[in-house]
Amino acid sequence: MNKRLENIRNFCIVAHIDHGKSTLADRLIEITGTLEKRELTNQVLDSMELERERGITIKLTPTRMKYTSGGTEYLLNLIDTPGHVDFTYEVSRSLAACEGAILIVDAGQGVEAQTLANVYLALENNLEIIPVVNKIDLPSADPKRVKKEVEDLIGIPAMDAPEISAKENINIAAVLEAVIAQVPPPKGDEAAPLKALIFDSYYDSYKGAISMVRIMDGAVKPGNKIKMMQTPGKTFDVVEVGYFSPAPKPCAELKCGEVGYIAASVKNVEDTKVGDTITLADRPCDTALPGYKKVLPVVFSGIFPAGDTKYSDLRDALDKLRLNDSSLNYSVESSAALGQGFRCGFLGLLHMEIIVERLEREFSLEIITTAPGVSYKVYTTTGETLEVSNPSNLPETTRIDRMEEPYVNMQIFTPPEYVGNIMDLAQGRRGESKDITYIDASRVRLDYDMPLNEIIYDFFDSLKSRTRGYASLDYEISGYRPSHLVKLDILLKGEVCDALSVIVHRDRAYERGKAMTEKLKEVIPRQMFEVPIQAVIGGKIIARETVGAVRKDVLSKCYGGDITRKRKLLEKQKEGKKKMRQVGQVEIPSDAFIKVLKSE
Amino acid sequence: MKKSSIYIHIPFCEHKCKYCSFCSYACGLPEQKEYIKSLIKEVKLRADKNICATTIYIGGGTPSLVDASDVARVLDEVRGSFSIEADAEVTLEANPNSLTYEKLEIYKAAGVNRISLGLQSHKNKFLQLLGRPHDYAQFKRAAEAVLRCGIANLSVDIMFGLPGQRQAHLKKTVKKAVKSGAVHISAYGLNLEFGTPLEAAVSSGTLAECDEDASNEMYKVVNKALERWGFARYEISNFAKPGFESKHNLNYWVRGEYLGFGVSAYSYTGGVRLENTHDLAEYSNRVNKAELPVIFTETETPETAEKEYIMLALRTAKGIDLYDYAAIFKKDFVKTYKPAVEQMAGSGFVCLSDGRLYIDEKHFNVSNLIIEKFF
Repeated sequence: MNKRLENIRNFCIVAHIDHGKSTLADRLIEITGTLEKRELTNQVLDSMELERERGITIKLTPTRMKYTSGGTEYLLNLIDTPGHVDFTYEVSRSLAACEGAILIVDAGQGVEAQTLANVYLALENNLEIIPVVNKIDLPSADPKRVKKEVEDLIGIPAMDAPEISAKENINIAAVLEAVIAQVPPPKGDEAAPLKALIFDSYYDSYKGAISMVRIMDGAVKPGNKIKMMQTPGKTFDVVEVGYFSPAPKPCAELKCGEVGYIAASVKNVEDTKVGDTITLADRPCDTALPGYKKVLPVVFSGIFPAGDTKYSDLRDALDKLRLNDSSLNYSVESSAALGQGFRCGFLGLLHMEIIVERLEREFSLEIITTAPGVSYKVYTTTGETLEVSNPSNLPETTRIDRMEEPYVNMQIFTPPEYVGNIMDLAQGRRGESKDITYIDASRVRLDYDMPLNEIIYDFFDSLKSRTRGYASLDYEISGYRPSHLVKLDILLKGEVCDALSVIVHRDRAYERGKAMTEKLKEVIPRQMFEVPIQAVIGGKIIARETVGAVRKDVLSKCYGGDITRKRKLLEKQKEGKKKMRQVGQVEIPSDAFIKVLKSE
Repeated sequence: MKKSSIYIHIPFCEHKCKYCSFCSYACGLPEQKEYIKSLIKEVKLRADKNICATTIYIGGGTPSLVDASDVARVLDEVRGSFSIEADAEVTLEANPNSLTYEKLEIYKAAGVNRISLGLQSHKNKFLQLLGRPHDYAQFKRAAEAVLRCGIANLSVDIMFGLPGQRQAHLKKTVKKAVKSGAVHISAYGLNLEFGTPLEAAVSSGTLAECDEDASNEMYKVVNKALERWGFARYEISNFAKPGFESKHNLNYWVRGEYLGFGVSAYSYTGGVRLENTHDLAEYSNRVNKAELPVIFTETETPETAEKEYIMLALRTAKGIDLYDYAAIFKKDFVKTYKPAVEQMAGSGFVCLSDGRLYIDEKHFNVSNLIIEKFF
């Protein structure tokens, strides 16, 4: 075997949120001298402001490190991955670029549902799993029990797993030694034509769209003419290649087995599709890499510009975000209340929250999001089957024969004292209990069949508050089931506010309608006239509130001819109104939509 | 000859009322004398015989507090510096406790032909709450003195929406104001201005505010009662018997020109709005250096002119004269503001008739919301 390849290890880290993934990554970067101590900020790889703040990893970030063991210098490529259920897609992308995965398990909490999902994903990709028990400094740490759990639940040997504390810098070198000993070196043929997997891409204003790649075969260097196998006809000249440490560093050449980036003055982001294979234009490889399974969005929401933000600003921002988050999809939508915007599909609620926050922070946009919904199957009386994710597109009741909604297999892990609370909650949300397993004295697993629709509304928040944050939740789509669904409309002064329409189960409609009208009464300011707020299903009013009219708004005095001040007061008042949304004659503050759609 | 109104500000009070956020100072006699000197200097600075004053208004503060002869000197200076229309309306604001028959004779000799007297309420409990320096008995005596001295054009200020005020109180206040001989009544709703003792008392919870609905009902009570007494509302807060509408006020609503003298006085002349300093010392310093004491200048643009036209005209009962508007702004009002006109007229907030667009009298209480539709 090629000597160079033998000294390369490509690996990622799989862990539950909070189990110390980013902290361990920091330690590895530190111990290998990749960054000087003074250059280290906490959680180096979580470069997005949002990632640091929430303490989660959203984007994947590769880092090349050098480490000497037993007199041999090894090239280690770490690809940091997100931990949350919504980002399974991102995880699968990085897994395809690695030969091994470090599995971090919290020495106190043991294996979590989420960890399992990612471990299975890693095993499917034939990755070598290296278990590591972290947080051994905590008083609650019980490494022996946790190791046994790993062996029982996952079926891999764990008794020799390094016991470390990333936070306290204990035993970090043992992790690297385990990686070198257990992760197989990459395979590949340096003499073969270039075959490189794009596992991520990002846009650089100077260099254009940049592909993050794992070279499977061959090599690439500046001056090469390349093509993307899914984008026939176009060729690009490689301007720069390099690796991440963790900032991009140009190098002379990227060879098989290595992880790095290729800049080739690609103007159009669409031309660097994640999962695509890069090869040489004049000496292409025979077959493309399998790429990734396309993931389908499960949560949908409208996103509309608000305040000073323009439709085109929002479109540009979404285009940029999609560049490195191909799981985000969107299409133009227009709403009578909110104007021109986008219908967006997300992998889950967290994914949606992250996108919304990134739009607001990184692009400084003001936006309104409508209530998250799922995609329903509608069978019409004429025999058609429609997929409806936007309540406005639901056909007339008389045209609907029957409807189906997506269900999920939901697992909740919780300390035993909260089981009652969780059962209450799940039943109230139409959950059907399938199984309750007492794993050990401190943990119970509850399995439910649950409509996805009920989870995305406010289930997660309610779960957290009913279990003081101890319960964790995981779910996967199990399929569609027939359901009695209705469209709930909100009328303001007699006019439908399309942005507030939702599709709900018949049994939950009254409760939802009442909650929405009550909340609207709180957030809609008094207007010149009375505003009746009605929740309506197919013409039948199920809840009603009224916002009274303004009684007094008058500048009684016009003291000493100070006209300018009066005019400015009115101009200011008018300016405030401009930020409002107009539904018929009713003026609604933008944030009212958000307040109504958020749960109490 | 250019027509203009003249405003003169006397910024002195015995003490500030508890709801007042206007420019006034509780100063001793030397400061008052010094101020009158400065005021005369400012009048001289801006003297222009080509300007013909149609109205003069001496406001405050409390103009009746300072020496009547000083007021007369200022008026003399105005007469010497500007042309004055023969039937010019000359108003002086007064508080009941400082207005005497003797002072009135001096004012009258100096040309004052209209007195604006602050009553606010006939109930002493409310006068105390507001921190007014007088009681109802003093008001009665002062009003009698005005009529006795031969000034028939008497205006009285009253207030509604006071904490604890009831409709019955207010009706009685209106009646007492009318019976005092007033031919013009200004009725203001209490505005709790930030920084005033009354506002502080309400925000800290020691005093219960009169709520919006109750205050609005009181506004209607005033309107109804005065109508019965033969008064008509010609502007949001102003009511008059026929022929006694304040010309000085009306000049503001029709965007007529005016010159303001004294601290915190405003002028509007030649398409420019000016604001004088609010600081007594700065005022004196600057006029002593033969400088105008102006701290803010705004030159009208077609846009601000139009907004002000709409805002001011809609305050009046007559509203916007659509022909006059078209002549000034070279466009059709109804066409320009079609959606707003349709919405407002359609829901009865404004009326369109006789070539005028005006706020329906039932909806003066939300005039800001209506005016803002045309901004």
